[in-house]
Amino acid sequence: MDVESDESSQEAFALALMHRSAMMAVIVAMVRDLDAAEDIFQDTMLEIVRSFDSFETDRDFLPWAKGVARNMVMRHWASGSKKLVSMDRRMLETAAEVMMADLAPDVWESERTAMRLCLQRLTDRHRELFLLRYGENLKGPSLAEKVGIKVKSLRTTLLRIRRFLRECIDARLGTAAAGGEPSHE
Amino acid sequence: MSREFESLLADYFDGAPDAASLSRLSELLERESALRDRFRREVRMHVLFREIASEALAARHEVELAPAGYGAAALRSPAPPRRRTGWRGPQKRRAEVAMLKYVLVPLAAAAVVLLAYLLGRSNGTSRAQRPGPEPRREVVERPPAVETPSPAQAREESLPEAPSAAREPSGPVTPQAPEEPPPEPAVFDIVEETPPATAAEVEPFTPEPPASPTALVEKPEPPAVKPPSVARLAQSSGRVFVFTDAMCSDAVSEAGQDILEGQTVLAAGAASSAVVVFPDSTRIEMAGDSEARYSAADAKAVFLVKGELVATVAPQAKGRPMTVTTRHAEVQVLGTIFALRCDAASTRLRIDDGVVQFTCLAGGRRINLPAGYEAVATKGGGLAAKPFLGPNMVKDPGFEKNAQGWQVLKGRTGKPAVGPLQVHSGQAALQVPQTKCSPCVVQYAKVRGGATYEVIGWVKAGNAEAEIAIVFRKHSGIEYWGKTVIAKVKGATGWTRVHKTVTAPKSPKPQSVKIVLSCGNGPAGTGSVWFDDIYFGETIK
Repeated sequence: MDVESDESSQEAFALALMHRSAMMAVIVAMVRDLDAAEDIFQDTMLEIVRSFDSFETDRDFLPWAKGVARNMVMRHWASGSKKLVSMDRRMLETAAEVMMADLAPDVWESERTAMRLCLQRLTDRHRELFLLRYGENLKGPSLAEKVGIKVKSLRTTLLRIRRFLRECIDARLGTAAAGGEPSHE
Repeated sequence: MSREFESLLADYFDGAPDAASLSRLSELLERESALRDRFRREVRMHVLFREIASEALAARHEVELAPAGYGAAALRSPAPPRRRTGWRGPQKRRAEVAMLKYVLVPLAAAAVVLLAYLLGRSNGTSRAQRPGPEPRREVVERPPAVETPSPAQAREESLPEAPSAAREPSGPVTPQAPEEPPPEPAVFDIVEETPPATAAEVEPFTPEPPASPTALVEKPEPPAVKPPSVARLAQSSGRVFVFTDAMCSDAVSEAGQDILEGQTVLAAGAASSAVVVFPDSTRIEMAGDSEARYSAADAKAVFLVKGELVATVAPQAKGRPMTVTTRHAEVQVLGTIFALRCDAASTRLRIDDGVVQFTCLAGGRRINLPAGYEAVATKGGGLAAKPFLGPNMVKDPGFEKNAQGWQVLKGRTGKPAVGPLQVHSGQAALQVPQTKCSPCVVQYAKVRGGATYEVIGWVKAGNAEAEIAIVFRKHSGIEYWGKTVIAKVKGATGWTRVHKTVTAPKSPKPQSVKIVLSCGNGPAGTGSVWFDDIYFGETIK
């Protein structure tokens, strides 16, 4: 690899890392499972570095990278990946289309900061449940068994935690009056 | 927002939606813009949940994060002792409650009965009247009905423990009535509280629960092990938070707060800033949107998660350099001043004073950088260095040649002097006394319109206010532009480094700049300020 292509790879890698969250959002929306989404994200990173030469520098990077992420999920689905066995094409395409709407990077940053503050307001028990659910990617019966409650109760608790965090973030960012979500369409 | 959509959404991310659910969700998303916004929001939350939870778990287990990670967990120093206040599981709590019910309470009741019996034995009349069985036998006899709890009872066992008043034995167990056989220890009778069965299964959502005796039984506090304090938050502006793991404190931290081993300081938002000072006066100035984790377990260590800091490091013991680490690079210093900026792709280091060792973590390339140089380490292992300061345009910057090239402005009282008593480096420094109209010492240098310049100097104040400023000038001494203050240092201070980057105006183009060293006005003979090692030069881009 000569110097120029090495620099190109570094630039591609740096850009992809900068837009990691937005790319992950496309994949999570399509794949649903967080572990599977991270696996596909790694493949997406490789693909972005590999095909960065075809990226026209006068275009925005993020829409292009999101397209690569979407194509990577579709490729996994078409190859019969177990991660996507329960998904149908219509839902995959709908989810991808919905997530292709751009978001300013500062939305991620401000929401991340607000969320970290709001998480502190959870009880220790709910915070631990949150870590098990999203850090260790436990869900359904396995998570319910781990924490010793019924699946239905777990679902209710997770719904309440998410609703609380959503409202807390809205309150912190002052977006509650606008319905908590600026429209992108 | 329809309940149906919320239910489908919850199923989509937490459950296993069937084909009909997926189809319905697609249909709703295609139909309504508001639902698409809601879907995006939910996805964003899941992504952020994952990022923050992974970060917190990594910090907990001291796992190096993957490249995409964004967290304090990459700090190499050991994590501080953590309070174990996490989820212990209802099963464990149930076991504890059962332990209380079946072991401790019967033991207590048996002890009461035994005490009553012994007191009864000590009374001769009562003992004569007692025909009954041995007290020991009475204690072990149990009603058969309580040996196998019913399902309802079993459910009761999982409930939080009843208030202490309900635990009192209901029978008249008193030494004054020994003729009556002592009642059986009321093992199961003590549970009088029977909340609905579902309450034990559905977690009540209480973001900030009040402390209660029940909570104490459910969640005993372990002995608190407070990590040692390693530094102090000396200044705090805007929203600054000090926290232990990835989930930061809700309360804005204020100046004076101790920073404990392993704690992270976050200056949230571009307008925020923080200054952290170690006991040896090592000073870390954190810019807005910066996050850094502090440790002093072995030697001083800072992990810059993101953002920018300026470190003024006091001389460190040989063999124990201070390290400042980012996800891309490591800086080792024994005493110096440098600025470090970290973003997703690279880490940029600028040396203002002294020498540091800069190592790119990917590949391990290492260089020693002197003052006036900057270096960039990239994620891919790239490491490049170059000078960022052009030649010093100031004549006699250290006042070693009796202030050659410097002038004293007319119309002021007091006489500046060059002497060896207070110096930052070399053999001399400039002293400017405080008077009611303190003198100003100036020097002129040529500049280019639109160019960027660095102004650096060392200042010491002795009960007065020192100021370094510059004024851009057009020609023939016409000053179109006002004074640009580089820094003011007030009070009684040690040698303080000041630094500012300025850009010369583009239009009209200035032709020269006046560098002004001055002392604030005040009663004569009560204070002085000193200047040394003044630098004015073009920034190399």
